[in-house]
Amino acid sequence: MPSQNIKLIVVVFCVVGLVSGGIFDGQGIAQEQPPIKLGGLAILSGPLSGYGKTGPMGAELAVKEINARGGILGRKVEYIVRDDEAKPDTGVRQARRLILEDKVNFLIGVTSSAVLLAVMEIAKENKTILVGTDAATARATGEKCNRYFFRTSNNAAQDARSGAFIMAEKPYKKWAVIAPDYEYGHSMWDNFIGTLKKLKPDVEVVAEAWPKLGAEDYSPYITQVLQAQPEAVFSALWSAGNINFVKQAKPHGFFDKIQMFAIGAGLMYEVVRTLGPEIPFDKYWGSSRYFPFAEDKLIPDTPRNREFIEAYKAAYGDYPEYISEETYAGVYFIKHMIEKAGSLDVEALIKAGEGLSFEAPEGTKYIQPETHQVVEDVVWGRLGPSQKYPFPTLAEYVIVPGSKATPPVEETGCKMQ
Amino acid sequence: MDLSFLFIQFLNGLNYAMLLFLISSGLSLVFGVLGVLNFAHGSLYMLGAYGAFTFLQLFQKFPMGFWLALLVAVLSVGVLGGIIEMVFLRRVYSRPHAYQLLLTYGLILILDDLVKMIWGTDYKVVPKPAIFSGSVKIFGDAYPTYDLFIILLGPLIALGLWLLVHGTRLGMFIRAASLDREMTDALGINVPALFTLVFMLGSCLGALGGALVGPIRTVSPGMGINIIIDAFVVVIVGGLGNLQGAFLGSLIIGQLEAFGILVIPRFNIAFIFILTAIILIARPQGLLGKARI
Repeated sequence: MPSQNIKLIVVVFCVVGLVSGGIFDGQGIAQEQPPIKLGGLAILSGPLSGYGKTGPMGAELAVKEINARGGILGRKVEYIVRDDEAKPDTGVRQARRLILEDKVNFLIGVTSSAVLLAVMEIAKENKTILVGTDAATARATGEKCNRYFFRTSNNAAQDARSGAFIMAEKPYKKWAVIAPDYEYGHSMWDNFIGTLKKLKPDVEVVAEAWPKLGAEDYSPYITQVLQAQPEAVFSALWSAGNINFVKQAKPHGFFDKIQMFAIGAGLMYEVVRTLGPEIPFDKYWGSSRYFPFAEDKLIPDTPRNREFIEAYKAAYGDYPEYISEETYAGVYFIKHMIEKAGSLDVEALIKAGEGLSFEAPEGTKYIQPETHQVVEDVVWGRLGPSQKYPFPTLAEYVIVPGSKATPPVEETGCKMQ
Repeated sequence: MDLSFLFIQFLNGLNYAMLLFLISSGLSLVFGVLGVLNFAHGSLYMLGAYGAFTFLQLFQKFPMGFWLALLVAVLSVGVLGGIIEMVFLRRVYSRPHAYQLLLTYGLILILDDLVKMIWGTDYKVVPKPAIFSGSVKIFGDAYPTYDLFIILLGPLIALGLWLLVHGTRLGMFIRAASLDREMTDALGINVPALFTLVFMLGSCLGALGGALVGPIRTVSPGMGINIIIDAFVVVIVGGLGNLQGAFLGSLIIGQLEAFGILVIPRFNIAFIFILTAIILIARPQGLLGKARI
């Protein structure tokens, strides 16, 4: 009879609805534990996307390796990445989306310092741990530190201090700066010149050039700096900025008399590979987050490092960029943090992260408990032509230990709440 | 502040101005004749750069390989421009401006993704041609010969365009079509073909800018977006729709970029946009906007 059929249909629908609701909820009837979700933020569009996408590539390699070995606490790991376009409002929007819609357990990544400062607030608001693997503004683990933010890559203060220690030994007195006019550029310069002046008081700043981030034409700045006749130039330009600057500066005779010290990403794979033999080998020192390629060995020459490079090459057909390694290491940091805490409880994770030490391809990473900032060695080097690789390799290098490069906690301005 | 330094900065300004002129002249020409503001002009510039990169790889064994690659790249983008005009733009001439905006914006997205698919996202390197890869001494400072070449090429192109538009029959038709499309059509001139030709010319100019810029800047997807903003500023300041406006606007913006960092460091970007805003308020047609092509 029709009404009985209708009742049957209604009951069936209700049961189906409850059951499917339960399954899609991820709880109840589901047999497997839900995966641990990592939400990545990276620059996936625009002129920096070529470099930006190598971060997620490193993360995906790490996730693949971890899942192949049984996951974390028996649970699979999933990595979702969203494009922050290097813009703070987009970063904020995507971070919220990752947390609220995609329901990620962690946020990881972020290249732009401006985006980082904005997304840190979202992480705090939502009590979600954010692992920074690139953006270097010292303020993130300094006066703006917050307990939900951990950074497994070097910050501007550490890079800059390591540079200042090396430069204090060198005879250059007249310095100029060229750096992109935003958070990162200023953080780098302020930390560098502040430390250098303390170590070598007779240092003089003869010119300051502040092109906007993403500028393509550096000729006016090149001429401006040349005119002041510095002995050395501190550059915080990165990626395309660095490439364009060197290309444009050379025919102006820039490197005839001036030594260039490119900090932070002076030795990044993309820059070295693109410029190749155009790099003024004798006048160009750079610091690297991760550029392990010396002619006859890796820096450091460990199995972990070798395996990482081989695995990356096998997966992608190219050598890793520095953010590939940093994001890869960031995923492993999360793994160690979860395993140490034994759970996904955020407070337990924060406690586990503080003081955690682990081996990454680039060496030992130790998380300073008071600031959540990684402490690790910084490599400065000079390049030379290579027989072995299709790009220049380190001809000379200096390793500044993390303990020396890292400022004392009181100086960072971090008061962790 | 010595004279040699000021002169070199002046040259830097001229160099950038001439690049801007190549790009903005194409934009202005297309607007002046077709009445279309082509947002995708920056993408044509980008394709010129990628085209030069690829053709140079093919032609590098030949003498004059760089120039051959340049020519082929520019002509190829011109042909592409012709196809775009005939297949896409023709359909929206009679429609409101919003359609043209959407269409050209859509083209940007398509072309950008095409570039990423064909060439990948890493930076491409275009070597300078051998004859312009050195520097000359100007008042004792080294100045790249390639930059000088661009400074000299700009006015030559400007002159060539001027002669085309004012000294040839074709130029007369172009001017007529820009003044009154319907009347020109009624007089028996093939206006649709003329429009295609003008769009192709505009595309060639944009592509030439891109091809020339390859050796001095990184070639990457998204390079069109940066330059198109500057091109828009140029045509707003100088006047949209004619060549003189593009030339004047380029000179102004080029020198502002070069000297702005000395006179008003840290604010020079803001200053350029403040100038744009002032022009929009006080003289919205631009400095030479009322002039005809």
